[in-house]
Amino acid sequence: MKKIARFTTGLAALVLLLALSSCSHLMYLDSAQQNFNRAAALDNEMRFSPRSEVPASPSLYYSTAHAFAEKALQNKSALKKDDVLANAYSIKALSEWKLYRYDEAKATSRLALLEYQALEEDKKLFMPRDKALMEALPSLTDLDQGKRFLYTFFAGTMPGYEQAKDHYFSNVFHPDADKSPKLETAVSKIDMVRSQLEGNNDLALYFVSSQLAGLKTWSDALDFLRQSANKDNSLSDSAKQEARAFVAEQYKLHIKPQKEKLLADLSRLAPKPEAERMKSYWDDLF
Amino acid sequence: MAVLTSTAAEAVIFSINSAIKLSQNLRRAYAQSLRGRALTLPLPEFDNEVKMLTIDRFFDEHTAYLEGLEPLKALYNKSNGGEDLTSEDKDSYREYYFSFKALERGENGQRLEMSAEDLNAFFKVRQWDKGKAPQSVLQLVAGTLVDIGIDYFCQHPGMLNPESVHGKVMYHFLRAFDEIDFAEQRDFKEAFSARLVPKLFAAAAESVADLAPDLAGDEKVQSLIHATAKGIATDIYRRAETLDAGGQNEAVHWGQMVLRSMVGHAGQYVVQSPQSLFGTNQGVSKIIESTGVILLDAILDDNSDQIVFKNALSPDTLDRLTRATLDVVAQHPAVLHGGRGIKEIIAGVAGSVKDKSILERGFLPELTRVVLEQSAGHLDLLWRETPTGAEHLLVSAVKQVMGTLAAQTTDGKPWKPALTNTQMLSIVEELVDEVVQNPAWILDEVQGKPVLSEMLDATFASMRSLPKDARLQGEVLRSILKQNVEITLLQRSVLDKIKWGTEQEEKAILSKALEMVFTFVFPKDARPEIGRLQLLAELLEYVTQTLLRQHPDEKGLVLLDLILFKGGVDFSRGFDKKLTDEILNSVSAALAAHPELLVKGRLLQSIISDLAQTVQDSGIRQPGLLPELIRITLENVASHLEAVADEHAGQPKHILVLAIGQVLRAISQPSEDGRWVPKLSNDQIQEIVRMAVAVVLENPQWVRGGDKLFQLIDAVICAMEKLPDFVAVTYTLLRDLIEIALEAVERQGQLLNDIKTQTGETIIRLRFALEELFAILSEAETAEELAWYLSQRQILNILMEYFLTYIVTIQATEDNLKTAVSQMKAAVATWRNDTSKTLEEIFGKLGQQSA
Repeated sequence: MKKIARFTTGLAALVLLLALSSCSHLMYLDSAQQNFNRAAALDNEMRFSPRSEVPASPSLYYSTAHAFAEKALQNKSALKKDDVLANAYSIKALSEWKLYRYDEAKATSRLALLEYQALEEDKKLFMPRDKALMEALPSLTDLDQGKRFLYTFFAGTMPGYEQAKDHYFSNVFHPDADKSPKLETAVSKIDMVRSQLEGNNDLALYFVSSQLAGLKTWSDALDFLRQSANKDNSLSDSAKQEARAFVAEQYKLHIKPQKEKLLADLSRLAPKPEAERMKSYWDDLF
Repeated sequence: MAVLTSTAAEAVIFSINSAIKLSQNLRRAYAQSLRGRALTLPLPEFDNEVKMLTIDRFFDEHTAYLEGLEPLKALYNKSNGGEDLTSEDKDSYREYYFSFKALERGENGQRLEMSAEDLNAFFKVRQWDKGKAPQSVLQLVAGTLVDIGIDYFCQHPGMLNPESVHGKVMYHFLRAFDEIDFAEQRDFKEAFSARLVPKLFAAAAESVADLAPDLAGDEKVQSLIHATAKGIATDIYRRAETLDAGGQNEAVHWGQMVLRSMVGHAGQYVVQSPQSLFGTNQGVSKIIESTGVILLDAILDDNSDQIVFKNALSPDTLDRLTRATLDVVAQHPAVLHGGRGIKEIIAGVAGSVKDKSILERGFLPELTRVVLEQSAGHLDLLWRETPTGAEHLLVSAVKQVMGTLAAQTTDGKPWKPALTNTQMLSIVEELVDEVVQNPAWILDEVQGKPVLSEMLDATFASMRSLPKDARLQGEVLRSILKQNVEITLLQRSVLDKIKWGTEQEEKAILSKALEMVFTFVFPKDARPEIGRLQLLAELLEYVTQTLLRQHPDEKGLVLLDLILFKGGVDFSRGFDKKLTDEILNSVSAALAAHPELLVKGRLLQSIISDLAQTVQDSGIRQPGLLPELIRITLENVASHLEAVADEHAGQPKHILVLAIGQVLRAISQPSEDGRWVPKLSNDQIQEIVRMAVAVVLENPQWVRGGDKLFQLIDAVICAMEKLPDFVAVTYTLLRDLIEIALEAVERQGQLLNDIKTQTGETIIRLRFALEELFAILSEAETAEELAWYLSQRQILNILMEYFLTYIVTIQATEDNLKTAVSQMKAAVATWRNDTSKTLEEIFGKLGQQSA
């Protein structure tokens, strides 16, 4: 038995040496994708069904996915030879996004886009989902960042109304066309990426949902703004009333119409029962 | 992939896995699968709590909801007025909100939540839009295939080598999926491929591993696997689009099963197939494709008027069915096309078996297999045209067999022969084989029905006479059917129908014969005998192989009735074929000479029964005696049909039976002093019986109301006891004396009157005379002399006749008897002194003296 074990180990080492240099990059990428899928499924479940028990943290799987993607990317030439380098960058960028490594995510997505472009030009190989995702990824990270910044800003002592309003104009929305706060811009950029999709309703639906997620944060910002007015003792009652009117107007001008449009898009893109439930979910949420 | 617990093991497996992926084709496919893998996408972060602003705006637009709901209105005013809401207030406010939102949607309930399944369906995004993927089926599922392949190839490293025979086989298998046309149903095929192809791959990999290398290396085998995989996959794609998820799973499952079975039998098929089949590349792939598809169709097609084939299938039965199908295809490639092919045979068998209890036993595939196996080599001969279309004779046979089995009822309740699956199948196989050998079973008709059907009906109809608890074992039933097949083949007239006795219903002769046997072996009013099954088997064999072969008509039934008549032939010690044969030969000969006896069944039964009892009572155990006595009796009874007599207030018996009884009693009765009993052969007994029968027919009063015949023979035998010991008593002497006595008594009936001897004993005169005569003769000086006297039959006759006549004429006083004896002595003395004198001279002289 010991001889067999030694032989097997020796053989394994030899095979490992030969094999790891040839196709392990695919297996790493495979594992990265699988872990990312698992993480995303848990992530979505936690977000849409807050009461459900999720067995593990999505972050754990995102981290694993990222690690495998990096391992795969240690052999970029092999990935490139197999035309999956862009995919490896993509999964890495997506993992970085969900691990709050926003700058890295954006940088990686740019690398991915370069590879997709090369594939299209050199090999006429098109990967529309991943390319669109990478194009939208900066905006997606901006939505994340916007949300995190908003909640950080309003955490603890409620800022005064004016301060809150500045934050709103700087980070969420500004009525001037030449000003482009991150959140508003992200929502509209995603819309632009979506408009450039040729088919692929599944991805379009995802982008619509992402826009709705961004719009929800926008709506939250207005709620925070109203709260700040209500609690700002420096404001007179009329000023408070005026502030609440401003918030209501913002809601009416921006949130409501955009929301209705996105929900209509959602219905159009996915005329099936689960889409109706999703639509109702968003409709209830903000 | 297997879960590994050892780091070393992981390394080994991982290394091997990696090495496996060196295969260029798999590596490309793997990469392609990674590019095309569907990703579940996470949304940007958002807070899933409904804010007060959202609720306020909702009620702004739905103020009607506030009316009449003061708590809600208070909350609304509070929130809109800029007041802080407590945590409880917020919860309550949200509850109102969700309730009214649900109401607007026409629902009841609280906040909507999305299930994991909904989310998975919503956020799982494919790389390419439907119909735009640049992949074949194989490429689409390559990733999954690789996973499976890795697991499998880890255990079969040789498979990895694309140059190995097994590697080539798998290559051919995989190539089949590259050839599937995606032009139609593209979207569906893409989605469904991930479920179908890996399953088929797994099935193929398992089966290929079991192929012998020489077979796997055969290009024809590879071709078969390629074509089969393609055919099955294409068929399942076609079906699955209209099926629900359960139906699709089922189709995939059976696709796997059929593929596995087809690959498993590939070698056999190739060996069997004619060279010409594989010589035409165009035809072969279609033929093979069709074979697998036909099986799959048979399994999955759900015609309401047919049977759901799959419910009856197991891996084993499918395997056998596949083998049978390939057998037929190998020999008749054309069966896959046109309207007279395997598809029609399978459908025909399925349609012919409707009985639920048979179907529940999973019998259908085996029936189909039997028909297919038997069809091989004879297919062209087994189809016939009917007004309703082409009909396969073996399908008809199965239909008739199963129909007959299913139709059996007793007392309105289903009656089914107690058959195991193996037994039932053996029966079907044997019958189907018969039809192959002799299609006339189906083609010829009796009473408007195929011969087979009639034979089965006759067989099973007879079984209704069995008591409920007398269930026949399968082997017995099988044996009966086999014998019935043989007799029907030889004597078709056993299926002719007759009315038997007083029965109203017409029955086939075969059926009635079996019924008689069953009734005899399983009497309703008696406890079953031990060994009855043995008796049954022997009787049935005799009836079908002997009796009905010689007499396939009413006469056969008459004869059977005679031997089975209760109280007749004793079968308590088992069936005696020789005896039965002899009896039947005797009866048969008598019936041939006197056909009028056929209508006297009851009388014949009575005669045979009484004779059997008579022989039994006599204690004479000599084989062959009874049949001879029956023959003698029947030979003479025809002209004396009504010659019966009441015997001591018992059952009336024929006078010949009474006569024979008295003869047998006389010759078998022990002597009084145990000195002498005639030991007679059958022939000798028959001779005496014939003499007695002839006399009794002329003088029936001898046996009617008395036993004169017995007394006569008994007197002869008793008299012979008086002979000296040194005299060798021969049968000839006995026969002669009986003959003389019969003639004498016939002339002088008074010889049977009593007489008192000098010793005071009362005996009949015949005996007295014979004893005295023997005593006189015994005075001879030597034994030789006495023997000489006794051998002089003619002289003795005259002496006896004279003496008996004299005895009859005189008064039986002591003096007269002394005188008679003295005269006889004188005559004998005269004769002894001068044997040259004629008897006439002696008796003339004696007469003168007497006078």
